[in-house]
Amino acid sequence: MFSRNSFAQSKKNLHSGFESLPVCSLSEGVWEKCKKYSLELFAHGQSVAEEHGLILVDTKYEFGIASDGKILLIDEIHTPDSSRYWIKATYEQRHEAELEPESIDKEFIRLWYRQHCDPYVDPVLPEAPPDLVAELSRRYILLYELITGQPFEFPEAPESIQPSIVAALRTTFPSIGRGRAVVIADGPAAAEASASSAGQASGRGGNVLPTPEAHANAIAEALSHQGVASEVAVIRPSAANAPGSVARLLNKLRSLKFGTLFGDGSEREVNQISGSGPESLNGDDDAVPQTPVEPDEDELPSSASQVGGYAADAAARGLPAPALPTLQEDAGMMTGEGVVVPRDIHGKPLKPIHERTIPTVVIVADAPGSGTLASIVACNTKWPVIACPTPAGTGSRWDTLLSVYSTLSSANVITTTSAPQAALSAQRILHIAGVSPTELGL
Amino acid sequence: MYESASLRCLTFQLRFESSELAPMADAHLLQVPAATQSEAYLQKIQLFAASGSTLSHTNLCVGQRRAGKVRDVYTLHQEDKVIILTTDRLSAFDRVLCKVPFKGAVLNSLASWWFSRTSHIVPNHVVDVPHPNVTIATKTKPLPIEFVVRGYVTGSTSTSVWTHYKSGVRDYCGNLLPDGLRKNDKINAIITPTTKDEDHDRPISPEDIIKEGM
Repeated sequence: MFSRNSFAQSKKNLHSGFESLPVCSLSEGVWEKCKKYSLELFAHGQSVAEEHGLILVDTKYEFGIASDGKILLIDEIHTPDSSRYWIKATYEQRHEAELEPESIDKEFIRLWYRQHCDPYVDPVLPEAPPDLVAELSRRYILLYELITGQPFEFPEAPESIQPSIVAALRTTFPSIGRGRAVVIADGPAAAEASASSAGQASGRGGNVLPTPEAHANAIAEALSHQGVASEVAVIRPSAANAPGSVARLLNKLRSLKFGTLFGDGSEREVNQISGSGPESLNGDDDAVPQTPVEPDEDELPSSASQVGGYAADAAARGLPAPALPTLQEDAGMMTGEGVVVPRDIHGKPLKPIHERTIPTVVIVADAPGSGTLASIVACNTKWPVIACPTPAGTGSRWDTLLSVYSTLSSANVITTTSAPQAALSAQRILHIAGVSPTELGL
Repeated sequence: MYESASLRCLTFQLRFESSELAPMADAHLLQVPAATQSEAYLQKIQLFAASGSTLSHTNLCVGQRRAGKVRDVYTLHQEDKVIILTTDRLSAFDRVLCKVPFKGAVLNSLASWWFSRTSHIVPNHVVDVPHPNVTIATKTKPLPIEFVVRGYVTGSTSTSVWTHYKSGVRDYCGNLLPDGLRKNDKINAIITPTTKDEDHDRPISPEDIIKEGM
């Protein structure tokens, strides 16, 4: 009914966060069923909305297949993000007068952005006026109250929101906010990426070799079985041996934000710096996702990456480093950071990341037979680095020796041969670092 | 009392609408089940916004984290579940625009309200809602298609029904539309499935779905 090897390849246009999970293909039977469900849900939604003085104009539904084969409604339903609502009381009259219906949605904010920038092109957007944002919040709350007939319950105080989320989850998931592993996968270059995604989608018999990214997801799954939290990031390296390619790679490593428990990642936000690096470093290869299609947490003002690239390149050539963004002190209890130690304008490392973040183990899924990415990562982080190269498909894992051989001599890397082994190593290291198995959910 | 509250709130609501939308003259006709203390709300919202307590970026350090535009999803492979944290991020134009106080709580709570009231039509993924922003759900393999249902001929974007209808299209993604419709007319609900794996969502007909082997 569905192909196990069919993966959503659209990592850069995430909508709900589900899209990067493996998706299944759609058979005619499933399609017919979901169509029927959608129409019934919509009819029900329209009649409920009408009882509450609203018109449900349009909406979208998403379905998923559970492990037992059941079709489930997922994501969200009839929210103001996924639906358009009009005010029923004035619809007829305004429609007769050829006026637009009154609606409760985010259209007015969209309009504001349209008027003040080109939201499809500009890398950095202006900040919406606080009045406008507050108004949108009020409308969303209004819609909630109109539909449910219940008053919206405000949190006690601003500072109570985040602790209340942790508290609500900690009893069930005691490991929250403790150790984690960051899995970095060696991504294919832009041209290979589309070719391999086509190959992956058509492969059914398990003959298709896993990409480093698929391997990284297998590692994440193995980590899950060891009770270790994880996050996968794909680094798409520039063409090997191209001038500045290591600098560009460092840039990409630096732009990874593994996030705080809560926060806006503002420690990475930098001011525009005039006179950024040489032209050759501005034209980063096209595999680097452009800002408009990128989830916000990965966004970095392009000036920052240019400056970073120049800095790294300058350092490599023994030139004085240009001004680098300084990191703001974190106010929160947990902070996150990329794997590159940032330096101040004098080239002095800023506060080491192990002093300001939660215990982390970095696992690198290199390409088959390679240890280069793991080496570069290990030379640029304080965290322990485990290499777990992607299997070459021979079944023997002799290629792991090649990976060890290609590891740079000064890099402290533990090389493992399988995802479960890497996961177990990560769990043990975190244990030594003071995160107990109980906290890891074991 | 409800009527005056609703009038105040709806007039207020329309403050930022474009000029063609005059304040509602007959808002008193609206049946408002909840007394919306609109101005008190606005103060509260501004207080929370100023405190910087909006949920913009989370990392709970549990399961495998994946960030979407609006939701951060933590997959618990072993338990076949996901923790979905709906943040206050506002997404449009295929990117995140800004953070809106309480947006995550409203979305998640409203969806949970609807989920529990539609489970007789189709089962859903909700296992538990331990917090207004958080849903614990069954892990699924999402279908590669969004099922967009439209009950009115409206919209102004390149994919909307009205844009196509206006330019003469009568067969919209396999749905036949009659002649003579005006903008914002009600129609029999039509389904326009939309792929999720393009740079922008694009409408697609059922035949193409089968043809493209999704």
